[in-house]
Amino acid sequence: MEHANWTAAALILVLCSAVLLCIRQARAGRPVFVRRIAGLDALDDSLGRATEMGRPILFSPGFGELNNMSTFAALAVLEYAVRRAARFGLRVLVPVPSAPVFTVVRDTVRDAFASEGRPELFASDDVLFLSGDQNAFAAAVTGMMERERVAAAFYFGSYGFESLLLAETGQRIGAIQVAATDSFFQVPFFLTACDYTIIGEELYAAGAYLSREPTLLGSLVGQDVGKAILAALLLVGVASAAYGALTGAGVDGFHPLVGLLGR
Amino acid sequence: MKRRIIVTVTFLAGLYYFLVFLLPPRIGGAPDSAGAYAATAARAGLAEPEVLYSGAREGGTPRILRLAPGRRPGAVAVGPSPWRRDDYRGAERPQWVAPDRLYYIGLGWDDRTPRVCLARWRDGAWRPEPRAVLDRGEPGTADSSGVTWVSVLAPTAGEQLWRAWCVGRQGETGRVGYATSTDGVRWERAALAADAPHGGSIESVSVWRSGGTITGVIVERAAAAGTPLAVAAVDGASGRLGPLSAVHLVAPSGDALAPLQVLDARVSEGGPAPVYATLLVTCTRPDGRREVRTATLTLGPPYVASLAPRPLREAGNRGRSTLLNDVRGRIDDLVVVVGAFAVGLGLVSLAQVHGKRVFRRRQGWAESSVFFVAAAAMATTTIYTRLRPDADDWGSRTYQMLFAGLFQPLGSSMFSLLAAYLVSAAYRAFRVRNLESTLMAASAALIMLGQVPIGNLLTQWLPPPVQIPTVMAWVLFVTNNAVVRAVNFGIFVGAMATALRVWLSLDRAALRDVT
Repeated sequence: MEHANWTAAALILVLCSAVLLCIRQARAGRPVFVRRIAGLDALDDSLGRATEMGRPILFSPGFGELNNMSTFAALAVLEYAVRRAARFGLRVLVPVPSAPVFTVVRDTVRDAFASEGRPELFASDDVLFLSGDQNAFAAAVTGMMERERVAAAFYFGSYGFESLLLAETGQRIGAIQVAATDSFFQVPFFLTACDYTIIGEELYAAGAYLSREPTLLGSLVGQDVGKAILAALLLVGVASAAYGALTGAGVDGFHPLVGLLGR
Repeated sequence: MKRRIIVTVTFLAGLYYFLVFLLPPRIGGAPDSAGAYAATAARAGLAEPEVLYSGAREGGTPRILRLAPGRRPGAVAVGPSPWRRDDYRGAERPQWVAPDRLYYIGLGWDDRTPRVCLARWRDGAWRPEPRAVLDRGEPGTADSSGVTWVSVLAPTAGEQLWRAWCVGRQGETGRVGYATSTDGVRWERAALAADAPHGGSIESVSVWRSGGTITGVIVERAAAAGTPLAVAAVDGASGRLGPLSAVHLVAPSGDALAPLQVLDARVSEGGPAPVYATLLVTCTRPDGRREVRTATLTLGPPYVASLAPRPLREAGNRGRSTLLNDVRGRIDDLVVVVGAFAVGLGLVSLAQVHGKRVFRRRQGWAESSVFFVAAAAMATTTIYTRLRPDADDWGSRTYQMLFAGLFQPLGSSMFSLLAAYLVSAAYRAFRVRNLESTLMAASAALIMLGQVPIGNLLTQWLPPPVQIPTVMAWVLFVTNNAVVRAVNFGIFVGAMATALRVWLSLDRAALRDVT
C-alpha cells in the first residue's frame, strides 16, 4: 500500500475537516441550497409510472464492492427508492453481482419496507445475488427485465461493459431508465440508452438531494468546499507552471512551487 | 447494543486503514535503513578522505550520504529537492571527481527518470547544478529510458577532454554508452562502448587510469549464471571496452552473504601492485538489504576480487515500527474470511430462491433445477481438478468441457451482443436533434476520421495545425482530458465524503430518520 506524503496527508485532513465542519453547521440548522438534478427528479415520476402500469421496477446498485464508495452512494438512493415504492405498493427487483454487497442490500431493502410499515412487501426472491461474472450477471438481469417487463430501471454505482447490455435491454422493453455512475467510460453508453444520466460526483449528491437530510446536505456542502480548495490548488499550479514555462525557469510544466506541492 | 457494536467495529476498522495510509511503516531510523549502496571515495575540502554512498529509508527517496572517520554516518551530502526538476525524486550513485565535482544520478520529477546530475563543492557543502548535465536519449536509443550509472574521467594535464562512461537504459536493458565534453558539463554522446556479454544487462561501469592505460570494470546482471564482475581494457580514442575478462569473487570465510550477489562496483583507487585496484562493491544481504564492502582486485588473468570480511557500511537502524503494517496481512485475511462468509450467504440465497421454485413447481422450475445441476457439476469437477491438478482423466476433461467448452463460449456470446448494441446506441447518439447532439456527432466524426488514413488524406493539403489528425489529437487529449480530470476530481471528493460518513456511521442512521 502506498503511504501518504506530507502534502497528501495535509490535504486529506483539510478536506475531511471541511466536510465534518459543514455537516455540523447543517445539523445546527444552517439552510443549504441544492440545485436541481433532473435525473433524480425523474425517479419519483418513474415510480408513479410503474404504479400506473402495475409493473415492478429494477434497481441495480452496480458492480462495485463494499470498498467502493459508489456502492454506498447507490445504497442511499436504493433506500429512498424502496421507501417510495413501498408507499405505492410496488415490487422492487434488486439484482446484485457481489455476495458481500448482497447481504447489505438485502438488509437495506428489508429495513426500508419495514420503516414504511409495509414489511410484507419484502420478497426475498426479488433481492438476488446472481453472479460476479459480468457476462453471466448481464444475461441474468436482461432476462429478468424481459420476463418481468419492468416499468423503470435504475442503474446507480460502478459499472463495466455490462452497462450497455442492461441499458439497451431496458430501452428495448420501453422502461424509463435513470443511470448514475462514476465509471467514466460507461457514461457514453448510459447517455445514449437511458432517459436520464447522472455523471460522476452527482451520484454522491443523490442521497442528499433525495432525502434532504441535514447530515447529507452538510456533507454535500463540504464536498463543494473541498472542490474549491482543489480548484484553488490547480489554479496555483497551472499559473506557476505557465510562469515557469514563459520565463524559462521551468521545463515540461515543472516549477518549484509545483514541486513543493508534490512533496 | 448490536448497532453500537457495528458502529464501534466500523470506526476501528476505518481508523486502522486511515492510519496505515497516513503514517509511514516505521518512525525514525537511519536515513539508510533500507540499505547502503553505490559508494564512491571522496576528499573534497577535507583533510581526511570520506566515502559518499547512496541510502534510503524503506519506501523513501534515495539520498547521497556521508561516511567520514570521526563523524556520525548518514549525514546528507546531496538530497532530492522540490526546487529542482531532475533530482526531485532522489539522488544516488555518486562519483567524486577531483577536486570538487560530484557526478550522481538524479531521479527526475517525470516518473523518476534517471539522469546524470552534477554537484560542486562550494562553501563547505555540495551544491547541485539546477539541471542535469546528461539527459536521457531520444526514443529508440540505448539510453531512451534514462542513465542509471556514470563514471567520469577528468582530463589529464595538457588534455582538454572529459570522458564519461554511462549505463544507459532501454527498458530494463542496460548498456554502456560513451560521451565526451570539453568542460564536464555539456556532453556529447559517442558510440556505444559495451553491450552485456551474457545477454543480460549491465548495471555499473567504473573506469580508471592505470599507468598509461584506461581500464574498466563492469557488473552485469546476467541472463545465465556466472560471475557478474568483468574487467576490460578501454580504447582511449573511441571509449570502447575491449574483450572482457571475468573476475572471480572471493568471499571471506564464514561470510553470511550466501549466495553472494554483487549489484555494482566502483573503483576507489588504483594500485599499488600487486593490488590492481580497490573497489567499493554493493552486495545484498540474505534479508535483501544492501551493504557496501571494499574489495581488492588483483592483477590477472585470472583476475580475483577479494571482498573485505566486514561491510564498510551496512543498512542502518530501521527505526520503530508503528505496528500497523505488521498486522496488515492478518487484518486483510480477516476481511477475506468475512467476505467468504458473505459468499456462502449469497449462495444460500440463490439456492433458496431456485429451491422454492423447484419444490413448489412454480413457473420456470425446470430452468431453476438446471442451477442445481450446473452448480453441482462445476463444484465437483473444480474440486477434483484442484485436488489432482496433473491428472488427465474424466474429471479434468469434464471440467474442461464445462468451463472452456460451455461457460466461456456462453460468456463470449453475451459479450458479442455488445457489437449490435453499440451500433444501436451510436445510431441514437449521432442523430442531430439539438446543439449538444450536433456537437457530439461532430466530435465523434472528427475522432473517427482522425484515426483512419482517409482523415489524413482529406486534409493533408492544409497547414498542419488544422489537419484532421492534429485537431483530433487536440480534442481527444486536451479538451477531453480536461473534462475527465474535472469529473475525477469531483468523484474523488464525493467518494472521500461518503467514506467519511460511512466511517463515522453518519450515513445509515441519517437515512433511517427520513420521513
